[in-house]
Amino acid sequence: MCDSCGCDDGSGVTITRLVPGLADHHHHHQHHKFRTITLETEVLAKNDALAARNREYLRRRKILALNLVSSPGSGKTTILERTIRDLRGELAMAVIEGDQQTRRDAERISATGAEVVQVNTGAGCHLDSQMVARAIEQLELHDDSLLFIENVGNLVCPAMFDLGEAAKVVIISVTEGEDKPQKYPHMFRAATLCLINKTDLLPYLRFDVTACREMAAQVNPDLEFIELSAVSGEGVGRWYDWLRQHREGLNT
Amino acid sequence: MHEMSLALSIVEQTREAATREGAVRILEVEIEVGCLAGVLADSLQFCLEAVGKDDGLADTIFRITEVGATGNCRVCAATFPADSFLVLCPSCASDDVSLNGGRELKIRSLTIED
Repeated sequence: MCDSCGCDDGSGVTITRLVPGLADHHHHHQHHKFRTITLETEVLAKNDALAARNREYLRRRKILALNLVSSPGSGKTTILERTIRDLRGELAMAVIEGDQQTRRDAERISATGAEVVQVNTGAGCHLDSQMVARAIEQLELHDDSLLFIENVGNLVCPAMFDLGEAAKVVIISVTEGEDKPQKYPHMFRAATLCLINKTDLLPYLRFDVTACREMAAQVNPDLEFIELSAVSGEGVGRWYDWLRQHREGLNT
Repeated sequence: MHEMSLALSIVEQTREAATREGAVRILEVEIEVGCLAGVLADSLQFCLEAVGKDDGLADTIFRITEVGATGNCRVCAATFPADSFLVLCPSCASDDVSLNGGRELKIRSLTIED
């Protein structure tokens, strides 16, 4: 790379800030006063190691854990309320609720009768594997069950943090822009399933479902889609089938 | 703003490694960030300097190297450099492209004073 202006030969960009007085520190290597040690450690090594422990614990107990991610207001909690009410005779379900503040979502889930723990992250913009490990300790989980982890409403940061889930489910509602998958590609790339929620409102909106799916598929060709309305109930059967199929997949 | 969480983690792991090695000073930390890792290098740099200042690493140079990704076209099998999730195959213009690499987020090395 050119040292004067930073122009690049295409092999990757290096940005170096030199601290006055230390600019010639490489020179000192020859005197063996300084040495460089190779680490090659993952920045998120601690999070990933704890996430792997969560995943192994959940796998052994045949608990399907799903990390629900979306922007605020897409209907994550409403989808969970409906899912728990519709499937509670069939499957044991528990929820970890992540929000910066308040226990409102946990109270809504609790009203359905499901096991729930609220994690308040304070200033934090995402859940991490340690928060989930602590929440799991407090939950009375059943073997052969479902664990929904409702992440903090944020389409950016939660994409980076593995919690130990089996899959990320990204939710987009039709009151949002259909180009969100391209504006927030990391999240749509990290997800296995995309729920397109609030379809009962489509007659009143200009949201183009096909365009949304195409834009998401460009970011993640393997992404699955289910269109549903947690309020009217249209399409929820396909979501339940997806849950059943993935839960049964834990037995194989 | 997950860059702050990452900066805290980098500084913590750097200090642990330096203590293990018996270093009296950390001159430089070399960090590798993939272009698809979801990390803004400028923001991480800012956070590292802010965290470092509070943690006795005010003179430490945090050197961030960005690394690219490779796209593999699933239609015509072409291989090409990619720097975003939204890539079209330069040979056949298909958007059915699998991406390899670019998600690196590592502390490569430390330069320390014994």
